[in-house]
Amino acid sequence: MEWLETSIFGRLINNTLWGFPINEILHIFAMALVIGAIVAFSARVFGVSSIPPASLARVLTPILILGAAVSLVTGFLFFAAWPYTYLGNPVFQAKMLLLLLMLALSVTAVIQVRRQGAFMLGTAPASIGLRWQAALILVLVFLILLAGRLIPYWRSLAP
Amino acid sequence: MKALEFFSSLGIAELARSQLWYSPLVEYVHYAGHSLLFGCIFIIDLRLMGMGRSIAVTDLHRLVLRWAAVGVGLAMLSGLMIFLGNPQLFWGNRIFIAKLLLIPLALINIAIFHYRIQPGVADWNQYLMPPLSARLSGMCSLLLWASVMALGRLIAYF
Repeated sequence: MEWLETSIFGRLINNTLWGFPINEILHIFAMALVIGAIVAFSARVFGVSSIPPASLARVLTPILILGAAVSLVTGFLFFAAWPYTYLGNPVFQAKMLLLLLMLALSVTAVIQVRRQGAFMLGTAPASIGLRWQAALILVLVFLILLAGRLIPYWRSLAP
Repeated sequence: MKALEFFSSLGIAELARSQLWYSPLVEYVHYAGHSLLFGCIFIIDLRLMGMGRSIAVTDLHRLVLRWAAVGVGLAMLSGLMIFLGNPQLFWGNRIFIAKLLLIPLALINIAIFHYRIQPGVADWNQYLMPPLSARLSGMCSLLLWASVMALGRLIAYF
């Protein structure tokens, strides 16, 4: 972990004046893109609007991938700057667990979506299973956001 | 500094100081709100700029605009609570003032779209490249909301 802290990744944030705010801004932008794409596709899964989900997915997939990639890279840069601080923070640990759970659920949701041809063409509603997954992913993404906001506060809030 | 005294006298700053959950809670709502707003409006802006033209503009509005509106509401309410929780921190901060000037501009841009551009949407609702006015409106919206978000993060550094 020490090598990480003193590596180019760590020093980008903890050794420069603008590294931290720029990384923060990028992280916030990226998570907004992720949330927008998830909310929009989930709304379609729940039957709001009759846009063929295949067309929607073509627009939302690049947004989601860009958002997820930038979130993960900027998140990693925060971690690289102060690895020990983050590792010892239970809220950060919880956030990483929730993140893994959401990534796993997203993979299964994508597989299910691809199997539901009629839904993708907009001629059939989404299956109950897909609706549950969309609901869970929505809850998870806002929990991850909450955990992220609580990371710097956990010491003052811990009982 | 009458205004600052007034904001400080409301007692919300007291509450924010005495209740440890105040700041994280209102900040979380602010993040959730502006993420909803930016994430949803970003999709609409890209569509107005000509991407994903197989989707009708009006259908996309029906799908995501309401969540963007919820996001604006949450962000403004929680933003006010963050301000009242520590008015001294924000009062006179140049970045904060710049942010407060850009928000009305972004809202005016939405109003212009709604009253001037949207009425003619039937001509370019699907498959066709939106007119220059719509593309510009989408670009302004994207740049303005992105600036608002970036400035919000920078307030703490000035």
